[in-house]
Amino acid sequence: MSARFSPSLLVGIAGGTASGKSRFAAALAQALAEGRPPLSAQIIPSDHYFRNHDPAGPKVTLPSGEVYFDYNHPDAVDHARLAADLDRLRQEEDAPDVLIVEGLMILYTPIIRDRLHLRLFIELEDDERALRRLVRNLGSQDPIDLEKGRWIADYYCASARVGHRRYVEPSRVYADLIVRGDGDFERLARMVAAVVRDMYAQKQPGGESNG
Amino acid sequence: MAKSFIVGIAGGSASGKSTFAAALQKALTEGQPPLTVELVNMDRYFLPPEAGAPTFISPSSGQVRVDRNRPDSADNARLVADVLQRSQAEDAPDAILIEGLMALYVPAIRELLDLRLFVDLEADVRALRRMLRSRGRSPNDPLTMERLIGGINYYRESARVGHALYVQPSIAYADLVIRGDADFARTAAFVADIVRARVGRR
Repeated sequence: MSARFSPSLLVGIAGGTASGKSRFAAALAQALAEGRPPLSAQIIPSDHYFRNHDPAGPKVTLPSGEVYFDYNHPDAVDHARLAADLDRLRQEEDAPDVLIVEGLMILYTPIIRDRLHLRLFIELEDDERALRRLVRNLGSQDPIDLEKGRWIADYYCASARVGHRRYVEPSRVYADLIVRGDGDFERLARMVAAVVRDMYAQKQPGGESNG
Repeated sequence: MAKSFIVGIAGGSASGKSTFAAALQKALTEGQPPLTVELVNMDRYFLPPEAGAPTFISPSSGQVRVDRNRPDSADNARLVADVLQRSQAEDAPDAILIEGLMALYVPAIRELLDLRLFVDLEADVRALRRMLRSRGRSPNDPLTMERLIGGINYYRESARVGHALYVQPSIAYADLVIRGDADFARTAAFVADIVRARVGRR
């Protein structure tokens, strides 16, 4: 498996906030590494491409009147730079077998979506996601600062749920497979890994195609 | 014989039922002509465990917990008897507002109602509101992480189940649906106009 015959496969994972995207990405990378043949995978979160220091970035106004960067808008991420990086990384000498790119707008954004060999969407009900996100954003402060909790809820309502309805949720129509965000990820990732492994085999010389 | 005009206000946990009920009471008592209003909170009729409240075994803790999100979680017969008695009393108020999760689901309550309201709000917003409620909290009794997680587990195991099975489907019985994130001062005034017109006609 040391000789490389083809550029990395691109697997995209979209889904709402706190649906389990990055956990599923990690589970998939592990399942790919542990199966036969073992495939190497690199995870690229689109969060690493946030334009939150760009003055022209999208903004959202909270009920308090405060204006913040809108992390739940397609323009919040520099998807052009992400696409360029994907193109470059997958052609490199030591490129991994699979590049897993995960983020809110991965299926919504055409320049990313069109590059993907496999499109996944992690689905979970809004209330469960909202609660998971609340706990995550509260951090470890105990007892909880209710004011902070309310700010988290306000930002969720003004930004996350709006972006989810407008962009993220509708983009599930582009998914090849939809994975439950409260599923047994170890088990589900093994199933998806089998799909990826099959795509990989078909790409090799002597495989059924040279796609 | 006097008979009160009875309004039922149903809706999910933390949808804004009590806040709307209070806004409606204010609109009715402060408008012209001012009406007398009594408020009935169905939570006061929850059955205690020793009186046969329904229970479930919590998957997260393995413990037996009282289930407050079922139609039989409250003593509905006593509630109906109390409302009927007040509504037919010598000093019956012009309007009685019954507010609770199952106000439209339980047939015996629903059939009492002259006006059926449902306060509707998406589950994610309700879940956040429910967890961050300050009602009953004080500096001496802060929200700890342990309590938050316990509250989230109860929400998952009881509230959202009861909501899906009973509360949300009962919206089909509503005469009017009110947005739980609306400006209640405004929407309660509209509903008060309706109640006033109906009370005046009798």
